[in-house]
Amino acid sequence: MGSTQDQVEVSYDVGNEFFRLWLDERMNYTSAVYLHPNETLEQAQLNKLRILSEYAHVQPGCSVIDIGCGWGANLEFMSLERKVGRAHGITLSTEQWTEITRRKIPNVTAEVRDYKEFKPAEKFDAATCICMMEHIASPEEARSGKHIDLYRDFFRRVHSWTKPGAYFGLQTILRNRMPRNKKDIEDIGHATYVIFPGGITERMEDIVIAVNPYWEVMEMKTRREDYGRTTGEWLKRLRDHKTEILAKWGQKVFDDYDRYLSTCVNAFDKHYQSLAQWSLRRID
Amino acid sequence: MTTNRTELLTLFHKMATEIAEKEFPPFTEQTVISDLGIDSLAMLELVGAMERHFEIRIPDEQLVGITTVNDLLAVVEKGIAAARA
Repeated sequence: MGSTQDQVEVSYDVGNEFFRLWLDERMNYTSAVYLHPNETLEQAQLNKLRILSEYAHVQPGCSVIDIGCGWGANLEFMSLERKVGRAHGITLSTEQWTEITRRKIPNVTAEVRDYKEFKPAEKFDAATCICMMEHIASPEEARSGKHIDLYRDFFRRVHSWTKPGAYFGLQTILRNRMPRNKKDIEDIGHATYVIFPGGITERMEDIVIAVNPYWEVMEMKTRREDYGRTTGEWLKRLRDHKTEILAKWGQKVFDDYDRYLSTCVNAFDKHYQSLAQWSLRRID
Repeated sequence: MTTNRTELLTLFHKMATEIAEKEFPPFTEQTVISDLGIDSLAMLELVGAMERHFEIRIPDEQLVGITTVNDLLAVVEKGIAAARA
């Protein structure tokens, strides 16, 4: 069953003001895409959103479902930049839903809903999902071989929510190679069990298997170095706000996130983890 | 480079002793690794030590299902053979 609502709230409900201190201004909590060496995190996050809109064939006036919509950065981008007719987001985090509602973005709606319980009244023209799949299977389910069925069930559901011909812009973290030293294994365990309980990153081949028979892989691009740079920037910003974080959230929160982001930088550098962006087309 | 089974077993014993920081009783190829007090984390360290020693890379999927000393040594031997091919 992956991450429960309680587990998702552990990951995302530390406090919106906490995440605002070290994420970009739109609060993207997923990898950016650096197209040029001197780009800021803010510019690189816009690159990411534009690429995924292109992968999903998001057109002016169309309707889009954003699964695991975070604090609404992608919904806002599709509304304001891509001029969609409707962008609807689902999240399990009440804090994220509160932030989206506060922004009052035109043509954007959102709800706190588990994707397994989502039953839209109308079908969508396109779908996007940015790094939510990590919450679909738990480490225990992955170890016991249940993960591919869970991923396939997810792809089946998205297929059922969309119209014939729809495209799906997907971004996923990839689990590439297990560390071979104790510290790195323990650090990844900390990120897996303390920061993101109930979830685990996917292997590329698992996704390739699971999309069938619902979606055709049209394009796929890996961006390991982009996520390394993104998490490095998050770590820098976290440390820049150390005094404030210690005062408001305490030593443990600062230490947990410092360790988690340091682990990410190391994991992308050493190929333990990577990132992929996928353009999927419905098989009708 | 050492590759025969007896010498590989000796190397396994030496590396396991270093990683676990304890002396092991005599064991055979049929010994279950977890019975030696080597958990999954220590086993990954052991695999890493073997990879560095033989300058090989063992794919993660080959590590699934390793139970006995023999299972691990067979994977190492496969890696050595692949590197020499």
